[in-house]
Amino acid sequence: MNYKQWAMVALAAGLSGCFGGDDDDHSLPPDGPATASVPDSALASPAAYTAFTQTLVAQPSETGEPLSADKVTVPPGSETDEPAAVN
Amino acid sequence: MSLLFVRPARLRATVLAALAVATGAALASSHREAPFITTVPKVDAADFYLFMSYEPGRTDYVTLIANYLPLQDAYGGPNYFSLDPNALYEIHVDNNGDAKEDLTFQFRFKNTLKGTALPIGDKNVAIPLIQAGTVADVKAAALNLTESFTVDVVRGDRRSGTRQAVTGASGGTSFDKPVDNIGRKTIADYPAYAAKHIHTVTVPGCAQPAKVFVGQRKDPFAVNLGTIFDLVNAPVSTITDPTLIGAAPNTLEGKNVTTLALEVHKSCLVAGNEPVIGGWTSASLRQARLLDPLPKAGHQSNDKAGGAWVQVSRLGMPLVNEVVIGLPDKDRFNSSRPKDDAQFATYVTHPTLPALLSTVLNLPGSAPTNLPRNDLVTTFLTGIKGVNQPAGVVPSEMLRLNTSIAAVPFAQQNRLGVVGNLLAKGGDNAGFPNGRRPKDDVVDIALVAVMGGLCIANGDTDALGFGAACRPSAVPLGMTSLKLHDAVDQAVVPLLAGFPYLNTPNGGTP
Repeated sequence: MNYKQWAMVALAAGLSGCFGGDDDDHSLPPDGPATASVPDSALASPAAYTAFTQTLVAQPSETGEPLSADKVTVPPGSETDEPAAVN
Repeated sequence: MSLLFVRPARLRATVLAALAVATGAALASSHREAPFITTVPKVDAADFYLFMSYEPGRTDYVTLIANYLPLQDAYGGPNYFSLDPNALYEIHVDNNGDAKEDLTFQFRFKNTLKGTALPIGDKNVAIPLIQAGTVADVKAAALNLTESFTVDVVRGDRRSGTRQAVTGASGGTSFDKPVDNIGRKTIADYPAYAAKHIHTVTVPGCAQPAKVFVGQRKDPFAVNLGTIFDLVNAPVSTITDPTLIGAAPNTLEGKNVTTLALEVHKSCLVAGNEPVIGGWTSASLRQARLLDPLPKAGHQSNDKAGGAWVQVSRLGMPLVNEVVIGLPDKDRFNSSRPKDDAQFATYVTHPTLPALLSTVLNLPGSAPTNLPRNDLVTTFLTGIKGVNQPAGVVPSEMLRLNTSIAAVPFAQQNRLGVVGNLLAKGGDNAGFPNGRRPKDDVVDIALVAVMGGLCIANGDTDALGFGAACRPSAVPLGMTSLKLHDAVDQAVVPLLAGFPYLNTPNGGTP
């Protein structure tokens, strides 16, 4: 195979990996590579949303791709909760 | 690094560098005064005013003004300076002296993009501007972005208390905010246009209607930033000469701010027989924020803010976080509440500003010697007995206004507030630190106070109740402490004669 043919095979393998499971956390934006999403559990409550962002703070990355926020149509918020403690 | 082992030259440089930061911020009330707030300018509280309305016919009303998003340039298009829909802006009132809010007015903002498009060939294409033509009226059709807000009043704790909506004339709960002063071709008569956005409202639990206005105003604060940032590059002979109070230019002359203004009958704010109310403003952001890497078409659509409100800005008395709170604690102060102010007490009882000024102005040994500075505790944390100190006050930092002291007409207001009134043996006790009016020159008053002017006035008989140690012999500058100023006269800044008092903003075109 020439270079172009090998590249097409590699791309096909990568895309099939993205579609290969039924993991709810994977989605395919129209024009980009596969990317993880904010999980449904993070949207269950304001406290869950805050706890989820704390996990992101604990895992900074210089190389990772950002999460898709497609599921975050109305971020869970509270008018009465006190802020969560942050260590 | 221990200062004891630093060579004098290096210590002087360190102190001067610190002063460059401290006094630069000092003479801008509270503009960009803390590290975190510089990253979120839309929730940067710049000034807070609290005074008895002095407009004829409104003298039983209290005006509360909170200014946000400072240092706006009038030409700041195409987006200009809308407030943050993911923020909560609040004005708090403590009416029993216990350092806790009893009433809170909450402002929430909404920015609605119409999506104005033009037919270009066979396509409809969205325009890049917030206006598509001239603007003269509320809800102008030419506006591509409209700004509105709601106001709620909370009684009790700001989060767990009872919250009710403030309503307009027809019972509505949404109020229009005027677009910023884009320029005279877009808005030919901005004063008239903005005035149409002064809303008469009903506040639940209050017998009389109130007024509310939110919109861009000319920054009312007067200061010469360049000179101050340049290590206070002004001769001592200038800043101690009362004839030179207006010698320097006001570098905020061309800047705008966004104003949240309320005018509420005093009966709505006080409790029982206590006429003194405390006030401060705060702003909060959502604790959790995710940024959408692929935002949808819209307005500020990449910001997915959720979770609880976290306070990130706080302002009561002017200049506190500027020149009283140390740099390591400025973000902490902005996140704190008055009931917890004991943690910052040392900054008031043992202030650094007098020592810093002594060094940079080459006036060694000129800091007052009455430590702890109970005169400053009285001014900043309790109010002055017989003027604006509530009964049983819990020391805490906020503006305190005695609603039983009548307002003074603008022309008779003493620019040095209560201090000036004492010196002049006049009839105006309605000014700073008894609340704060736009005309009060808080920088000059603060300079006088920190360098011992209150102790000169207190005399050897403790006439003002600042304590026996606060006496003329504790003030190395002596009577000169009463003459200190920053060479920029606050009292000449143009203002409106009535609510919302702050002047029409500078326009994008002159």
